[in-house]
Formats: sequence, structure tokens, C-alpha cells
Amino acid sequence: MIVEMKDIVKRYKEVVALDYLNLEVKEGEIYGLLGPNGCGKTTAINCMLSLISFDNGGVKLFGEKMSRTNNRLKEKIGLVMQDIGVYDELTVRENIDYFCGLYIKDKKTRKAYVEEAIEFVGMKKFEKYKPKKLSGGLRRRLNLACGIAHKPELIILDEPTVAVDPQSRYHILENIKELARNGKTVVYTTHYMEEVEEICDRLTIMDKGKTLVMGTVDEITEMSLKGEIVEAKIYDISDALIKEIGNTEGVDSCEYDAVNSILKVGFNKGASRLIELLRILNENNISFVDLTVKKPSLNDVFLEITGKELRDNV
Amino acid sequence: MFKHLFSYISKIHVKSKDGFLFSLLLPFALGLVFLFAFEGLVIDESKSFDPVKVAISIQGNALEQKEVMNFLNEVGIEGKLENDEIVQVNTDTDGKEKYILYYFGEESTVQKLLKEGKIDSKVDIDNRDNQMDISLYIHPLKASDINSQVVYQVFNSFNSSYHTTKDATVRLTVQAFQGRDLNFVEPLVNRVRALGSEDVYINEYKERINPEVHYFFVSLAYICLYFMSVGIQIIRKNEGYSSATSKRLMISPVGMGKRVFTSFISLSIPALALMYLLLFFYWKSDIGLSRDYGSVILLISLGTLVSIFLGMAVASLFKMTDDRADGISMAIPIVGALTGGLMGVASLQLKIWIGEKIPFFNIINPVALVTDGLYQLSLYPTYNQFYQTISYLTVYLIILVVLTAVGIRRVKE
Ligand SMILES: Nc1ncnc2c1ncn2[C@@H]1O[C@H](COP(=O)(O)OP(=O)(O)OP(=O)(O)O)[C@@H](O)[C@H]1O
Ligand SMILES: [Mg+2]
Repeated sequence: MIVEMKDIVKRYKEVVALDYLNLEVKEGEIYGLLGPNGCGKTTAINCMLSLISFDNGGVKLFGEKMSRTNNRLKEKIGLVMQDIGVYDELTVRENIDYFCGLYIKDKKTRKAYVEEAIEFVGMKKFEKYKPKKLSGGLRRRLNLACGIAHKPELIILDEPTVAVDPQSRYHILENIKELARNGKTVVYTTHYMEEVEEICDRLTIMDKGKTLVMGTVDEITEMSLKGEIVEAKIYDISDALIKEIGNTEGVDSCEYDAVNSILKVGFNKGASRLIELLRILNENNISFVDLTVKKPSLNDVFLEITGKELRDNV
Repeated sequence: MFKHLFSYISKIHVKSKDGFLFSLLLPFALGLVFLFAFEGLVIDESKSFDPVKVAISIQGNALEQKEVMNFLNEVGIEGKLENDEIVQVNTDTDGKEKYILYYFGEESTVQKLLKEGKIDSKVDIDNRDNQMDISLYIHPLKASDINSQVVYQVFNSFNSSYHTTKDATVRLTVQAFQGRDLNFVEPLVNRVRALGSEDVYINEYKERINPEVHYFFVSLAYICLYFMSVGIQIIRKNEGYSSATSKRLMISPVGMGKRVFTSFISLSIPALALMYLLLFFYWKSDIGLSRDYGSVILLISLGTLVSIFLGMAVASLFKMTDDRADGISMAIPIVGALTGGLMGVASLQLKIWIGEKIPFFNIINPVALVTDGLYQLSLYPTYNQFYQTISYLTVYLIILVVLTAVGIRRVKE
């Protein structure tokens, strides 16, 4: 286990930011920490790294107790914070060099590492720029480079793609995947479930400082009480037939969106009756195009458990 | 590691607005403004000195009064009471420098004169028990003035000369209403006890200084305390909670102590260098700053370091927002200067009142300490008081270093 957080409780006066949070991250995986704004993701990371004190529980990193003064452990960790932590007075290269130099004493090695980090985030062109002159996306990339230039074994990223254009976001996500391919362990927090679905091996969904569910994306979506959702474009269908489909065994819901001509059939969990549905449509001579079968998303799971949407409910 | 940290911290400090403008350029500009403001306050040799008004009451025989008068006539001139004011009996001063205007009177009359501020100082001499007890009472508003020094000096000299001629025991006590001026009681008593031979002569005061130079001393001390903001910055740039960059430093394997130490070195060097540069300009001009270069540099260095560490101790002991940190680094130096006597007569009176009621406050106010040190260097005949101030500053510095060390070990979230 690279990260082991056990029963962490963190209170800010009345606010309970973390409520007996548990977290286990294995070597080499990308672990997602998913949850809405204010659910305690950043607080969890701060506790993990002993940046703040907590009221209960313990943290082990690399099997060793983490503390404020455990410099040997700190050497193996890289943090990419939610807020951009770079000096406006230094250039891109100087920033990376300054932070890298806190870990790497040998000058030659450091120079090579800094060079590599600049290449890695694709900022060679901008290395002499001051952060103020960079776009938001580029600043985020610089923030990433500062956190990983020293080649840490455990990399923690706190919402690194917030407020970033799709291109930079793609770039950052690709970077993270590459880090994992190179054997690094990654903890990734976000409130974008698409990102988690795309890159994470396992994840925890949090809300109000508590763990709601944890597992792989598949395991979690499996937990949904709902089954698959089938959508098809149908130009002409009678209300009676819609009702009939709705009453078919195993079908949870059936709606027709007349404006876009889309029929949406939700099945009960484990009761996929796609063949049955196709048979009914065939028997009634209904033609259809663009048939898709969707599994419930992480958002659906979150919605079921908490009764609210996961996305951008700021 | 030190070199790496040092070079980057210095670079960031000098290039940042906070660092360059606020903590380097501004105090320097302030220092130059003060320099120009006080350049007119140079010692004016042509201006004559108004003798200090002293009323003396004697309990004992007439012989003693004669003794005292003989001595006082060497350095002063006799006065008489006219419409409740002390005036010279004789306007002819036989060409000699006159430092005091003395008047002998009843204890009660003398007390009344002091209360009404008609005299600078009241002196009680009691020689009933075959020993000489001299007590000086200095008017509160004159206590930090050169006048009090003159009175003290005159009677101290009398003390010494009296002793060398007589075989009696002499006791001299000084009572100022201002707490800090009681400082000279102890060395004085010591001297009398030792019946020392180290006579101090009044002519050391030949070089006269405009009393307003006091303001100049306070302003120099204020600039020292100004660097408190540098101390606050040193801690805040390294405390995890205060900014994203400092959080980065916090999770790096370089300990807080090491980082704070390096920041301290790289930020206090420019601060000290700036002070030395200012001193250089001051010495080049004709302002009444002591020419005892080593002592002034020692005092100013200590004052600056105490101020920086005051900022460090405050910032490391208390968690604060950026706004509050800015507020504190502005407010404390101003309060220090105000209570240290920078803002005119009212502020001077405030300093005296504080010295009387809460003398401790003057000892923790770097502005008051540095001002006193400069004052003592320029005006006092011996180094005793100056060394006392230096030792206050040193002890203060040590306490602040310890507090800072305690503060940076605490987790503030
Ligand atoms: N210093 C603090 N003082 C008081 N409350 C705090 C403090 N820091 C965080 N909190 C509270 O703790 C809770 C968790 O905050 P946290 O920043 O960990 O959330 P988050 O999941 O990172 O949110 P976001 O997605 O917006 O970054 C919030 O309710 C927040 O208000
Ligand atoms: Mg957060």
C-alpha cells in the first residue's frame, strides 16, 4: 500500500470536513477522489501530507507513518495543488528549478530533470516567460511541472484541470496517464466524473467528508440500482405502444422525446431485455436508427445515493 | 541546499513588489526624508544655552550651603525669586559658560516651583547625619531633555569633587519622574559607593545638541522597527497555510527551520545593508548623530534585528491572514514610534507617561530602546546607560529568537 488513511476526522469548529475517511491506494494505480465542491477532497490531501493536523486517525505513506518532519517520505512525494503555487517573480524554468532543487541536490541531475519536466508539459517555448504572462491552462501545466519535476513516486493532483480549455485538459490527462505508465502512483481529485472514468483505475466517491462508495468504475456503476439505458431515434410511435413498452417486464421507464424523436428505455438492474424490446418494435413495424446502449454513469450512482447531481453543483 | 535556497529567496525578494518597494525602497526613502528634515538641526555653536533652572533646599548647616554655592558658581549662576519666576541675580556672567541657574529656598517653595514647572529640577541636600544626601528630582517634561543630563552631571561632579576634599560619606540619589531615567540611579549609587575617582567633567557637554534632535533619533529608530514587516514576510513565505507557494515549500523535504533561517539571512542582509547606507549618509551630513561609529552600528544592527525578529515571533506564534499581516506590519511600527516620542510634544509626553506608569512597555518597544541608545551615545558622558540599553536589546533579541523557534514548530491548522 502506498497510501493508507485510516478513520481520519478533521473538524473546523462546527464544520466536519472529514468524517472517518478511509483511503487505500496501491502501487502504480491512478486513484480517483471524486466528489462535489466542498466535500473535503483538498482537506483529505492536506491531512494525507501532514499539511494540517487532524482530530482522529492516522496516515501511512509507503508503509511509514507520515509526519510534518518526515523528510525522507516527503522526498518521494509530489503535490500538484488546486491553487497554482508558483512565484510570479521567477520565470517558468526558474520556478521548476527552484522547487526541483528542494529535492535534487546534484546540479547536473537537476538540470536534466528540469529540462525533462519542461518537455513533459510542452512548455519549452515558454520557459523564459513569467507566470503572469501565461494563459490559465499553461499556468496549470507549469503548476504540474513544478510538482513532478523531481520524479516523485507518489504524485497527488488536486483538481489539476479546473478552468482549463479542452486542449490543455487533454494534455494534462495524457501527462498523468504517462506518469502512471512509468510506474508512478497517482492520487487524482476532481469533480469531473468523465475524467475519472477516463483515467482512474479505482476511485472513492466522497460527499460531506464521508466515503460514499469505492471501487473500480465498473464496480461502482454496477452498484447502481438502475440497469442499462437504451436510446433510439424513432420518427413515429404511438402513445399506446410507449405505454406497452413501459409495462413490459424488466423495463423501469419508457419516455419519448417528441422534439428530438428519441425513445429512451431504462431497464431494471440486471434485466436487460434488449432482444425483447427489438421484438416489440419489429412486430409493430417501427423503424429506428442510432440505437445506443448506455450503462449508468458515476453521476447516476451519486444521484441515487445522495439525491443530488455530482456535476458542477457549485 | 543553502546556496540554492539563498539565491532563489533573494531573487524573489528583490524582484517582488513587497520586497523591493515596501521593505527596501520605502524605508530608505523615509530615511532620506528624515535626513533632509533634520539637516537644519545641526549643532548651532553661536546659539547660547539657556541655563537650567534648579531650586535647591538644604537641611543642615550653612557651611554646606557655602560649599555647594562655591561649586555651583563654577558652572552656574545664582538666581532669585521674582513674581514666582527664577531670574538671574546678576546679569554679568564674567564670560564663563553657565549651565545652571540655581536658587536656594525652603523645601515647600521649591516643591511648589517644581510642581508648577517653573524649574527643571529640584535638589534636596541633607547633611544632618554627617553625611551628604543629595536627591535630584527632575521635572517630568524635562526628564528626557538635555537639561536633566546637565543637572545630573553638575551634581555628579560636585559629588566627586566634594568627596576628594572631604572625608564624609556622600550619597546622591536621582529621582526622575520618568521611569527610564531612573536608569542612572544605579550606576550613580554604585559610583558613590565605590567613592570612585573617575571624575566626570561637565565640559564633555560642550558640544551642544538641539533638543529637537530627539525627533531625529526616534525617526532613525522608527526605520529600524519598520523592518518588522520583513520578519513577518520571512515566516509567512514559509508557513504552509499562508499561500500556495509556501504550501509547496512545506511539503518539500527541506525543514521549516532551515527555510526560515535561509530566508532570514537573505532578507535581513539587505535590511541591514540599507541601514548602514543610511548611517553613512547621516554621518556625511552634519546631523548630531554620535561619531562613535562602532557603537552606533552595534545599536542600529541590534535594533534592526530585534525588529525583524519581533515580526518573526508575531507571525510564527499567531496565524493570520494577509490583510492582518499587512495591518500589523504597518501598525506596530507606528504605535512604537508614537509611544516612542516621534509625533511631537504630545507623543513625547506619552512616552514619559508610559515610562512612569508602564516602564516595561518602553523596554519592549524597540523604538524607545534605540532612541534611548542613540541619545545616550550622543549625550551621556559614560557608556553605562548605553551598555544597559544594548543589554536590554540583546536579551530582547534572545527572547524573540526563542519565541520564533517555538512558533515555527507549532501546526497552525
Ligand atoms: N481553513 C478552513 N477553515 C474552516 N473551514 C474549512 C477550512 N478549509 C476547508 N474548510 C471546510 O471544509 C470543507 C471541505 O473543504 P475542501 O476544501 O476540502 O473541499 P474540496 O472538496 O477540496 O472542495 P473543492 O472542490 O471546492 O476544492 C468545506 O466545507 C470547507 O468549507
Ligand atoms: Mg479542493
